[in-house]
Amino acid sequence: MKDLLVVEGLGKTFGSKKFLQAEYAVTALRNVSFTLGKGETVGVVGESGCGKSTLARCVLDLIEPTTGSVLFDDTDLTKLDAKAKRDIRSRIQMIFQDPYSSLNGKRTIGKTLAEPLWVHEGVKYKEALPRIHAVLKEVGLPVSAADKYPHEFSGGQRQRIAIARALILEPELIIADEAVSALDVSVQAQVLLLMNSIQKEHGLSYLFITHDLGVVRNFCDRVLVMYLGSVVESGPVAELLTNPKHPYTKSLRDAAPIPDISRRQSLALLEGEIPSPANPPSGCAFHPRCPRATDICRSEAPTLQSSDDQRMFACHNPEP
Amino acid sequence: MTTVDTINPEKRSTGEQLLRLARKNKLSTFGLIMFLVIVLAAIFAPLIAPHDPLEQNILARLQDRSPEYILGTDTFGRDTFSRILYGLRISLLIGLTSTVLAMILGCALGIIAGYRGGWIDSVIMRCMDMLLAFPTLITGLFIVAVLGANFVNIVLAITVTILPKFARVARAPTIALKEREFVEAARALGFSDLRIMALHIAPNIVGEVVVLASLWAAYAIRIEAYLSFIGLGVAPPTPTLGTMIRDGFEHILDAPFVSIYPGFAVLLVVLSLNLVGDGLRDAIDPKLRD
Repeated sequence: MKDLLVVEGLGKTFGSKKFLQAEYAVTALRNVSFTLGKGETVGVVGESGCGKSTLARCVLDLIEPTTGSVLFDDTDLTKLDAKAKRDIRSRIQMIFQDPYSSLNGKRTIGKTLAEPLWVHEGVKYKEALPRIHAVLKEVGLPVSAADKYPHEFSGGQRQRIAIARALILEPELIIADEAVSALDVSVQAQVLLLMNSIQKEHGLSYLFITHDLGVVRNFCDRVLVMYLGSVVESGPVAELLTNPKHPYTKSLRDAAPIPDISRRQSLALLEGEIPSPANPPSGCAFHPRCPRATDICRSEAPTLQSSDDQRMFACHNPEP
Repeated sequence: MTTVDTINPEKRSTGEQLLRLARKNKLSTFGLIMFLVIVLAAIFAPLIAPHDPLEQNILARLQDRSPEYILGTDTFGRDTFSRILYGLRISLLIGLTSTVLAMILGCALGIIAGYRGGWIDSVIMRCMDMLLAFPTLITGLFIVAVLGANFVNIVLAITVTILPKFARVARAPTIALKEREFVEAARALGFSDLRIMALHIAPNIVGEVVVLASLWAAYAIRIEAYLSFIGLGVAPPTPTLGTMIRDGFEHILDAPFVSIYPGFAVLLVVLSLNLVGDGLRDAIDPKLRD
């Protein structure tokens, strides 16, 4: 299978060097590499502040990465000029977390959906209407929605509209940044099912960013676990969740609620909070919270190593 | 009011909302009506005015109110009431034109500064700060004195003096809006910056800006009166409110009404606009809405 997206050594440092101001640098993303095949869904999980959203925005080049490359269909997105970048945006789309702020409240749904068609294909509103109606039906909304404003819809409906907006240009890759975490659980399931059926129909690839392992389990083929801007473990979902190698992955898995009180005892729950990326710990970034930490973890950062051809992890003392 | 209304205030139609606001804020509604009456009076001045504003009647100079001259006459025996009506035309035209111009230009600059950030922001905003550093009247005076006093230059002078205020007001919400996901979504869809600024950011700040525009329109009309008062207004004999006040000053002791009536006209225009502005500001502030 040919890879649609190849991300290599992606890094992002936010910093500021201004006249009469203290210099600061925050490394939000550190040497992230992964691939995404056609029709595949890769999940990215991690706590708040681990760089998931920065990763999404760097892949889409909404934020310019400091280092590394993003190859989309053999084109390096980071090296394109502004015009070419805008053109390729019709092939990569994004669904945002908050459906309340991701739609412009001053435009009707029809106008919101028609705008990308006008910008990329020069299709006028009237001519675009059949396609708008088709895409609205596809996401399960009535055709009459085109004349309404975002505030007339519920959160789940709005997220469907956001999905419709991402779909209308028929992209090959959709980046979903916490696309369902702002929704009620019942609505989450609906939206995930919708995204799943759309994927089957159009052969889409998803980069699915979430903090919910349950969603990952049901929705993704492979998963990347991130901690403080780095990938600490990656692999096929089923394997990675049944037999995590990295202690962080294990604690993430164990933190997901299980409706069985007898299993509570053996859980390895994390204490403390994710360290500040402005002042990361020495050695392995996870060592202050790691139950398996030893001296080498405090001094030397582990590198990603593969256990077999599919799995990768970065840990000195992997789980058995 | 029902619960549904509280949860979803946006659901009411615009007309309904306006009516509700009008009922609640009687003072502003009064201001709005007053302003509309003034505007209509200015537009239909030729029909309403009992005399030609330029027609002199030396025999009846400096007269106080009479059935013939409702608001008296000035030094040359011209009818004050007719001159006020015609003066309002000029004042309103200059005031509103310059406010609209300043609003468009100022918002454009403010949105560009806020959206682009970095050195573009610094350059634009420091220029605006420079304009703000001068007292308003001095900037206006300077421009009119250098370029000459005529309609276009006075509009230009007033535009330049209030433009930085609009730029500042537009910049702040732009900075907040550009972090919103719908702007990011627009970028993700490959829209150009110009498109995002004009079609996605501008419509979302228009409400706040229009409120301030109504307050600054009153200010613009006052600046026009100041400039006319110190002799830098539209050339005589065209009546403007400021010129009329100044003309009356020669006779302020024996015939104060010559200055007082046009002064009162300025007061009414400014007051009505301020009332409208206050009402609009209350209307968009959600904390004061219910």
